[in-house]
Amino acid sequence: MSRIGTFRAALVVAAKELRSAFRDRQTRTYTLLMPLVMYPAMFWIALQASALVRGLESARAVRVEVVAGAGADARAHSVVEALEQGRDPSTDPTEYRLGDGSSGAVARGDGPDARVRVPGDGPLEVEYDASRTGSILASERVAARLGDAVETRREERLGAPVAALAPWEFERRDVAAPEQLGAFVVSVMLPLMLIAMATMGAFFPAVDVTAGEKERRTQETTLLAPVPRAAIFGGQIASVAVASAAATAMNLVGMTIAANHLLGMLSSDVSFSLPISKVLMLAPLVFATVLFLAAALTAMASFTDTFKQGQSLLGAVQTLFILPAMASTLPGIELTYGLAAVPIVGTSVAMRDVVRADSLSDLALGPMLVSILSMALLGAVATALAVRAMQRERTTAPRWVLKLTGRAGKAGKS
Amino acid sequence: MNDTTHGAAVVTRGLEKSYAHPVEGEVRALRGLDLECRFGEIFGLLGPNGAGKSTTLRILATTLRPTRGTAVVDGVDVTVDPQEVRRRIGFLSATTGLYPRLDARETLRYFGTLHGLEKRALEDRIEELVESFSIGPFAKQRCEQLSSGQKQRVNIARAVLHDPDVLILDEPTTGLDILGTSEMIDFIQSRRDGRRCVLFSTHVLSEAERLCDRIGIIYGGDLLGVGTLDELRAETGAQWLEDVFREYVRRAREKTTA
Repeated sequence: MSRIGTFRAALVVAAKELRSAFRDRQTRTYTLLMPLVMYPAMFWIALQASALVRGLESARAVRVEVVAGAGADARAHSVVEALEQGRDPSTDPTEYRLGDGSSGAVARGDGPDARVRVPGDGPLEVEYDASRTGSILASERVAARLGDAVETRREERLGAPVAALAPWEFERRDVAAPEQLGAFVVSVMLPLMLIAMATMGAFFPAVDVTAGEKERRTQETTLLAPVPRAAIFGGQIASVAVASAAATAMNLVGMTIAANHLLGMLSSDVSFSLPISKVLMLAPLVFATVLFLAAALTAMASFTDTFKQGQSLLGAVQTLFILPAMASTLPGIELTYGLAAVPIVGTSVAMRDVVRADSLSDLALGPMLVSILSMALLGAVATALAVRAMQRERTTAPRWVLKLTGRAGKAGKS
Repeated sequence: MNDTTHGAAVVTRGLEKSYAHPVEGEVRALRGLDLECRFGEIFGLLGPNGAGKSTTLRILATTLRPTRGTAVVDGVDVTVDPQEVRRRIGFLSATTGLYPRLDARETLRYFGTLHGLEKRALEDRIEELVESFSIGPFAKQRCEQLSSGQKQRVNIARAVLHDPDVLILDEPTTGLDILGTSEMIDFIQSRRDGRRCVLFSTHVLSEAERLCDRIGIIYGGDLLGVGTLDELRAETGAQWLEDVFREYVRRAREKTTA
C-alpha cells in the first residue's frame, strides 16, 4: 500500500460525494430537472396567462354613461353616436348610453364603469376608477373610440388627412435586430437566474456533506479515511461546486432553449440564441461564482448539526448571495473596476454584458478579468475558511446558529 | 508495522481531553490517562457511560485531538502524523455510519482507494471480504436498504479492508441483537492471532470477561486499574468482574471525597 496524494484523494472524495448526491432525488430535481423544466414552463405560463387576460378583456362587457352638461344635450348625443359608430359588439361589448349621472358612483354599485361628462364647450371629461380593472378597460375603450372619432371629424372638416397639417411627419423605427433585442431581454434576467440557480444547486449538496454527514453518522466514517483532512473537505467542497455548476449549466441550457423558442412566439421582433463563443466567455465567470458559492455555503452549513438546521440556516443566508445579483437588472449600472471587485455584483453585471455583447470589442475586458479574479480569490479564501471551519471540533452548533435557525436549531440540537 | 508480537501497539501518557460546552462550560473527559496495549492481545476498556472510553478511542483513531499528553499508535504519534495512524488502524463503533447511497462494494472500493490499494489487489480483497463476511447476497444493495446486522458486516469489512494490525472498536455490540452480538464476538476472537492488537471498549462485563486478555477499568476520565482478570481479582479481592469494577469505582470515589 502506498500513500495516496492529496489531490487524488480529493478527487476520489469528490467523485464519491457526487455519486452519492446525484442518487438523491431532491438533488437531482433541484440540480438537473428544475432548470430544464422551469423556463419552458415559466414562458408557457406567461404566454397562456397573457392570452387569457387579452381574451378576457376583449370579451368583458362594460357600461359607459354619457352625461350632458347644461345646454350640451346635442353635443352629448353626437358623442354617443360617435362612440357607437362602426362598433362591432362581438369585439367591443360596451354599452354606451345617455344618462343624467344619477345612476351611482363610477365603478360602484349600479354605477357605470366609466362616465363621460360633456360640457357645453371645452374638452370632454372621462371619469374612471383606476382601482377597478373594468373601469380602466371602459376608459381605454372610450379613449380609443373618441380618438378615432376626433380624427375622422377633423379630416371631414379639412377634406384632407390630419397628418397633412403636421410640419414634420415622423415615425419611430427600431434598428435593433431581433437577436439584439432578445439578448437585451434575456440579459436582464439571466445573471440573476444563473446565480440563483447556482445557489440553489449548491444548497442541498452543501447541507448534505456537512450536517447530513453528522445526522447520518457518516462524518466519523469519512474522517477515518487515511488522507489529509484538507483532501476530504476540499473534495467535499469540490463536489458541491460541481453540483452547483451542473445546476447552472442546465439552467443556461433551459433558459436558452425556452427563450429561443418562446420569445419568438411573443413577438417576431425578438429572438434569442447563445453562441458557443458567449458560453465560453460566461464559463469563467460562472465557475468563479460557483466556487465561491459552494465554499461559502459549505462553510456556513458546517456549523450546523442536522439537515433541518442546515436548511434553515442556508435558507436564511442564501438571500445574501442572490440579492446582489439583482444589480444586473438595474438600469444604468456599468461594469467598472470598482464594481467588478464587489462579490456577485461584479460577476452578475459582467454576465449581463457578455449576453448583450455583439463582439469581444463591446466588452470591458479589464473589469471582466477583475470580476473573475476577485471571485476566484474569494472562492479560494472561502474554501480555506470552509476547510478550517469543518476541521473544528464542536459538541453542538454555535449559539449564533441556534439563534438564526430558531425552532429548527432547537430541534436539531444534539 | 510492528516487528514483534508483544510490542506496544498503543501507548498513551498523561492523555487529557477537555471540551468547551456552550451550556456546561469546560468538560474534562480525560484526566491524564496512561494506557498501554500490546500486540498479540485483546484489550478491553471497561467503564460506564461518560467514563471517557469513547473519547480515548477517538483520540487514538485521530477523529479527536487530545488537549494534553501523548498518544502513540503502532509507533506513530496521533498528533504528529494522524494520517499514518489512520493507515495503521481499523476503527469501528456502534455509531459509525455507512454512506446510505453507496452499496457495500462501492463503500469498500472507496476506502480501499483512499488506503492506496492497487486496483487489482483491491478488487481481490473486496471479493475476499464479501466472501468471508457473507456480504454477497446484499452487496449490490444501497447501504440505506440494509438491516443493522448487514450494515455491521459491511462496517467490519470496511474496518479490516487494509488488514490493520491495530483494531479499535468502540462499544461494537451496542444496538445489535443477539445474533449480531454473537457475530461481533466471533469476529473479535478471530483477530486473536498473536500478531494484532484489538482494543475495544464496552460496558458489558460478560463481553470483557469472555474476550479480553487484559482489562482496563476507566471511570471519570481516569484509568483506575489495568491487568488480567486474575490480576484485577487479586488486586481487589473480588471474585466477579462486576464486583471488581465496583470496588475500583468505590476506591476512586473515596479518593475524590478525601
